[in-house]
This record gives sequence, structure tokens and C-alpha cells, in this order.
Amino acid sequence: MSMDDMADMEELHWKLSILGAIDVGIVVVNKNYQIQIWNEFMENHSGLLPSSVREQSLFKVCPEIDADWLQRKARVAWELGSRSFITWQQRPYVFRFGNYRPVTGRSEWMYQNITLLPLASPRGDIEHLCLIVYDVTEQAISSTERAN
Amino acid sequence: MTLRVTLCDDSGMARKQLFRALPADWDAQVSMAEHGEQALERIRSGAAEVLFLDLNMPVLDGYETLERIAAEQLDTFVIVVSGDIQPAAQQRVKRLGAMAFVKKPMSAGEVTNLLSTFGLYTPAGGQLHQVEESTTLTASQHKRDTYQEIANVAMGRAGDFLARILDVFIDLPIPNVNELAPSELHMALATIDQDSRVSAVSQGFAGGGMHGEALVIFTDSSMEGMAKLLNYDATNAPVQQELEALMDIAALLTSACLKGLTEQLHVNFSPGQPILLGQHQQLRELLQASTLQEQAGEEDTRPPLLAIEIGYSIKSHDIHFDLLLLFPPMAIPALDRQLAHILEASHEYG
Repeated sequence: MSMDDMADMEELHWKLSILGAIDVGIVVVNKNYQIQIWNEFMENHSGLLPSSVREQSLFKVCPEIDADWLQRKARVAWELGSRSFITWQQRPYVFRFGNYRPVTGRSEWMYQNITLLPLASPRGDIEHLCLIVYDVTEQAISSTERAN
Repeated sequence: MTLRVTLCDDSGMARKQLFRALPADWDAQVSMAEHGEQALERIRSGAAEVLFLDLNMPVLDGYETLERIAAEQLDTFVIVVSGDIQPAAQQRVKRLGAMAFVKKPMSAGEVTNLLSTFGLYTPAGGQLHQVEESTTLTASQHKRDTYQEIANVAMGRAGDFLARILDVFIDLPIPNVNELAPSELHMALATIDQDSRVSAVSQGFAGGGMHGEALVIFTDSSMEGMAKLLNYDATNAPVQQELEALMDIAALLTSACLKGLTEQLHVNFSPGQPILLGQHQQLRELLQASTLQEQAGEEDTRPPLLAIEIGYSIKSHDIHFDLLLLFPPMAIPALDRQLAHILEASHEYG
């Protein structure tokens, strides 16, 4: 292995570690909404191992998701190649995860913002979709409190 | 024999881009027109055997011009060059007698192919001449014209995408370009009544070190119609349906418009998370509550921001909504540099 290859390998290794450790959920699905990537955040909050959800339908793994609704939201990403967004104001959560701080967090569930990111193949066709899940419980609770 | 050609577009930048896209060895004499009325004069005086015609123009727009050409039985070969690329717009101009429809910005290869197809051009047939100089613009008018044309193409992309999703025809306006103080933001919205109640979503975007913001604003009276048009699950509460409609349309418009800007400016603008600025509030209050205000009674001496207002409407459903593209003072020099680049590049490759 050349020095360059070693450096590339090391960089890839770092990237994978970061992807695992980062405190946001990352799910990649194919055109049929079969799960391809399920990072540690998703694993920790759902209790489902990446190996058990791989190639499974997202809507079977997470029956709480309204499939028609999510697919409509994803239209911009699939058809236009632009990222699309779901905010907690529309639906408090897409994935039913418990609050990170179950005791003093003042909410049973994790409020989520979601970014739908189209992933292009090397040919430029959009064949996969990445769902990035942000925990915005704090923000949602304080904003709801302000409004009341 | 030398062909007489007229380029009709209200934007000086668009006319220039179009002229540069024409083959340099085309045996043609090119005149300019700034709106349909001038184009008709050119045809009558024999200066427009071929007419390149824009659609969205003041005084007399492209559709009206085509109608007048037909009514007066004027003899000209019309090629529509438009930022509005909705299928319905294309069908409509063909029905009105246009021979071809080309989307903006038109590339040199595309023009040459098109002209060859119609037998209007033979390579090395002669030389391209411009008959008269179009009106000279001051530097600030020129800048405004450039912003307007870039916005025009971007808004056309967004309109087309939305029209296909909603299956309606969307009326596209001429973008309204303003430089104004942050506290005067409400004045950028010429097409919404200042006292009407509105809901608004803001989405920031960044690219090439430039930041900007896209606001999508719906009047309350349009919101209900929009929710119906999107055909959402009626079991949800109307409030929830309206929120969904607002967020969805905002995302669609902003994404498609940014894609249009990205294509033209060669800067990859990526959008951030949309934020609901407010619902059912008076326009002026909503904007003032959302922007950093100067001390009461003091004049706003901050440098102006660039605001481009695009007032979309769906006349068949009595729906109106605004897309407001905002660039802070810090972004304007970078934006201008990028625009200058593009104008030069279109010269080199055109």
C-alpha cells in the first residue's frame, strides 16, 4: 500500500468514526425505501441493530411513519435533486424516539427536524436518499413555552 | 440575402446574452426591441423577418404580441425565448403561432441547431451585424437589470416545477428589484397589501462565502385555497393542513429557485432548515418582529440589502404568494463579481 492509499484509508476510517459518533441520526434508503445505512444514533435510540434493519423497508421497521406523507415530502429531493426539510412544527417527530433526557427533559418524545438529502450516483442519477435526524427537543419546548 | 432579425426582451442583459449566442457568421442584421410594442414596429418596418421574443415584459408581453401579430397578419418567424418554461406556456405560444420555444439562457449550440433546422442559417453565410445600439444604461440600472434577469430565469424554474406538481398554470410576474434598508423590508413587497394578514417561512442559504435568505409569504386568504389545491389529508385539522401547505410550497419554491441561481451563477447555494417566521400576522409587524431594528426614532443608516420580490399567482384559484430573495450588504460585492464573470464567460464561449 502506498503512502497515499494509507492516508486515504485513514481518512475513510475517521469519516466512518465521525459518522458513528455524531449526535444526529443518519439513515440512507434506496428508491424502494429499503434501509442501506443506519448509524449509531439511530441504533441507540431505536434499539435496532444496523444488521437487523439493513435492506428492510423503512416503513416496516418504523411503522409510526406515515409513508404517503413522507414520500410526498421527499418529492423535491427525488425529482429536483434538492434537499428538502421537515420541521418539528409540522410533526413533532418522524421517528418515535424517547427524549434524550427522560427525567428532566419536560417531554416524553424527542422532537425532530429532518433534512432529506438526495444522494447522486457517480453517473449523476439520484438513487438514494439520506434522512438526517436532528434532536430539537430543547428548541421546540422553549419555543412552545414562549408561545403559551 | 441578409436576413433581418429582431431580439425582443425587456432586459438588456438578456438581449446581450441572446446576441452573443447567435452565430457570428450568420448573414443577418440584428435590431433590438424592449417590449412587444417596439417589436411590432420593427416587424412593420421590415426589420424582423425573424423575431426572438421574450414572454414576461412590460407594455406588451409576449403573448399579447403574438396575438397582435396574428390579428394584423404580420409576416414574421417567431422564436420564443423564455424563463417561464411551464408546459402550458409552451403550448400557448405554439397555439398563438410561435414556431419554436427555447428556454433561457439559450446556448450558442442550441440557436445554431434551431436556425439550421428551419433553414434560416448556413455556416459561413456572411457576417452578423447589430443595426443600432440599444439604450445605454447607467451603472446602477445595469446592475438592477442583471439581477432582474437572473431572478427571472430562477423564478421560471421554480414556477415550472410548482406548476407540474400542482397541475395548474402559474402566472409569473416581472421580478421587482430593490435596494433598501433592513427596516424598510416591508416596502420590498409591492404585490402584497401592507395591512393584509400573512404567514411566512424563512430559509437561509449559503454558497461561495455568500449568504442569503429566501422568504416565502402567503396571505391568509390564499392559504386555504393552497391547502385544497395540494389535496392534503382532510382528516387533519385545517390548521395543520395550512401549515403543511405553507412549509411544502416554501420548500419547493426555495429549492427550485436556488437551483436556478446555482445553474446561472455557478455557485452551489445550499439551503438551511426552514423556519416558520410567523402565522396570521400583519405583514409589516411580522417583518419588523423578525429583523434587527434600529433604535426608535433613529434613521436607519445601515447599508442597504438587495431584495428581489417575485409575486407568483394562480389566477384560476385566486391564490397569491411571494418569494422574496434577500442578499445582505456583505454578499453583494461577491454576487457582483460572480455576475461579471458570467457575462464575460458568455462572451468568450458565446
